[in-house]
Amino acid sequence: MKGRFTQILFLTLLLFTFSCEIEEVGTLNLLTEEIVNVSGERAVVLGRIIAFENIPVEDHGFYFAEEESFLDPIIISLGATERPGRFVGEVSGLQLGRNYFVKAFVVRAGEMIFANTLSFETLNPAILGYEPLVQFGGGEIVITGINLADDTRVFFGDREAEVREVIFGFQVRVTVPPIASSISEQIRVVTRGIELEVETPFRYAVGRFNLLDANALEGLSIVENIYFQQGERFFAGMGRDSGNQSTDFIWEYNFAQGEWVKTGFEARMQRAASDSHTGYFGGGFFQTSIFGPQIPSDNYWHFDGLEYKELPPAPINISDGFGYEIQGQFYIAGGTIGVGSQVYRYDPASNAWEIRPNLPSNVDKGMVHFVYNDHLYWIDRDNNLIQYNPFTAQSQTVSRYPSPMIENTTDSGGFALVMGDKVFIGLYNNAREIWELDMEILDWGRKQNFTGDARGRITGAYSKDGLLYFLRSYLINPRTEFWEFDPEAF
Amino acid sequence: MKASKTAIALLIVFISCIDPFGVPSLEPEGLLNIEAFLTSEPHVQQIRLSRAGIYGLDNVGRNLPVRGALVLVKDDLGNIERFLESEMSGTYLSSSEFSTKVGRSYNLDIELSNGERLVSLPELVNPVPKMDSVTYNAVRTASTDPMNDEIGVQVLGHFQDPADQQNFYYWRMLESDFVLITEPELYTLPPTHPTCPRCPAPKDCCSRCFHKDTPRPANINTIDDLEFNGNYQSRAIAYVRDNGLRFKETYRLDIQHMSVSAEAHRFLKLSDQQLRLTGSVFDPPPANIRGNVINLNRPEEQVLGYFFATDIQLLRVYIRRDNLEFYLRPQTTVPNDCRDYLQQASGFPMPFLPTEAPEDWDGF
Repeated sequence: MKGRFTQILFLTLLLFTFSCEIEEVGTLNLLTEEIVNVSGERAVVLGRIIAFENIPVEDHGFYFAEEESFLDPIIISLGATERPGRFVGEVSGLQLGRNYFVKAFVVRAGEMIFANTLSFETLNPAILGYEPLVQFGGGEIVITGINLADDTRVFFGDREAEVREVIFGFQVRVTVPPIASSISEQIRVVTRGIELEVETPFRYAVGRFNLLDANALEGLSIVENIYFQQGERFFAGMGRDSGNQSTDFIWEYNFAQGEWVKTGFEARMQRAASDSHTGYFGGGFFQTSIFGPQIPSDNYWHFDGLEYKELPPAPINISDGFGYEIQGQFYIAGGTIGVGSQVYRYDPASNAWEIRPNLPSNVDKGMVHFVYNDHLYWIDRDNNLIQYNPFTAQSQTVSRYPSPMIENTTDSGGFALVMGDKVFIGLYNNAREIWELDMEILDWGRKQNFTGDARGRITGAYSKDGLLYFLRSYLINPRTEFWEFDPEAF
Repeated sequence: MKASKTAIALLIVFISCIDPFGVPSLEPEGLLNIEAFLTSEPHVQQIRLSRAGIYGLDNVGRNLPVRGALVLVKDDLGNIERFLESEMSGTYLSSSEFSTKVGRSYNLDIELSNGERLVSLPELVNPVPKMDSVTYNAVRTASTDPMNDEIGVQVLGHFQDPADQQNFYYWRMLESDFVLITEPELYTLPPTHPTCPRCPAPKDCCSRCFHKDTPRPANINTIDDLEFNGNYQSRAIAYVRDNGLRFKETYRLDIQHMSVSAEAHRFLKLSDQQLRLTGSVFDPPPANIRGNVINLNRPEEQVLGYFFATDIQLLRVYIRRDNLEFYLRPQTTVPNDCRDYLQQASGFPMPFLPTEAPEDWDGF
């Protein structure tokens, strides 16, 4: 019995001794595996714990430092873990354009274990550009660059601008400070103590409107009219009054008297005519009375500065069509009756009309059009600026009008005035925007919004001595106003 | 005696310690799937994000698109392209000017709407050796049907592999166009016709239309130059099975000839191996293929898919039936107006196929 008890006791002790196996912690290898991504002030690094079983560690992560000795490290601690495998650490706040070293670490049983060391170089910042190139004071521009830090500051000249947001290190949203003494400012960007200068100077959206005559054209509100400029002389007329009164006259602006006066030209009430804005005009409809039938007109004239010379009848009826003059020859095109892309040309040398290749799409007078360097340009109702070579009949879309067009509200009317290599475009029906288009680089610059009543339509546009002049007619409180616009004033 | 045995048994039960064996359960549901294939051809490029659905005997789920993510592609100089979410949810588009540049490496950087951030390992864009020419020939291969071989067209690419660099090639067939030939003169009235079911009713038009096709089989065709480094190559880069319709006249095959990174090549090769599993004992075991995207918040989470950045050359070959040594016989007969082909094939109202060739069609 005693022997049996001894056996049981022995067995019990044996079980106590061996039944709970003390877990033997295995070995691990640690690797700083790969530099995943480096930007100006951030880096993402991959590390790996290699083991054949779960191994608890109190902490793991990465050491970053500018010296390989890691005397003053930036420590990215990812906390305790027990699973082997890869781990990722991201560090921010690094200095731009510096060399850094990184190594992974684990803390196991109070002992710090380090992996191999890798090195990388943070990137330098650069500015790629900004847009829009022209903006109002208080408006917003977006500067695009690379490796811009969160502490980025932006200066317009000596004045610091408000940085709204630094977007992922490549874009900076900035509020433009109010205009001071110059319409142009140099932009400087300071990021992590590195100063960068933006190559293209910033330009403020400026311009000043001045109402010259609140009741031009004898109080009429003319529409569907023609207008043209001969040297420094401005003309407008024909069409109809918004109250359907006949306006079968042409007025000329008298700068000395500051008013529009009738010229000796008298036509039948002719509206929706084509005009080149240089002195050629005609076509459209005429009516013998305001309630009479609309009869297509083939009457065309040319004002050469002295007299109105009648041209031979055009071989086609065109209403609301384009009119433009290239190399002294008058073209009529498109319109709202018949084929909307047909083109005819009047040659003064032969005093005859001839058909020319069709335009690539239908056009009408509601689309802004102009001539630059012997090419016809127009903006279609999809905002595309189309360039057309009348000699080769080749066309291409070269840019887009930046303002949105809203059907039946702002997709018609407006004006385009060529002044050197700049074209001023805008003031569509019921719209306030004016843009300056640089034809050499096809860059659009905003001008000051029209300060008058927006609910009107352009019925004349002229330029003289660097200033723009325009007639704007209103259907509500019918009138035609005559405005001056200085595009550089502020 | 009995009491002592009981005591021993009780002792064993109470004293022995049991370590639970942790079985990590696979949770395929909700894994993020990334489809990002960027090339050096400037155009609007897309990245698609989705959550993998459940797939199994009981359920075949749909991959749900991942909306509202911030998707950036960065190069090693710090340039960033932001991909904006399109109307197709889960699809993010670049600007039309975006393309990868040879020599640059790219990272994908994604921030999900729940704040999780994912980055890819850098993908280096290596220059793709230019393809000199492309030829084709008909091939016959044994199929599972002992009575009929499979017939198709093999496309060969001819190019010089550079000796001074290790190259990894990948050829991908794109959606292509072909001339669909039908037999409208054999048209018969439908069997439900009230007066004359199945009566011949030849149609005057049309027998020749243009149709789009996704070339099949969609194999993954990738190779490294380990065995032919520096040698001139005439290598099969694509294969299109003859289904009786594709090669009745002209088939215009579009192929992307690409260089990929070593890691991308490995991913593609493993994917191809898995897709070719037939269930035989000689198959490689099913594998869990890791991509190159890491979830920074949960590095242990598997992210499906791969972020590719490649240099590319577009190849286009017009395969004409008259130039093939043989083709599938008998060819498939479609006794109807070819314009109605889609509608006839689907049974639903569908758009008419065009009889006019695509604008850039340069075939016959």
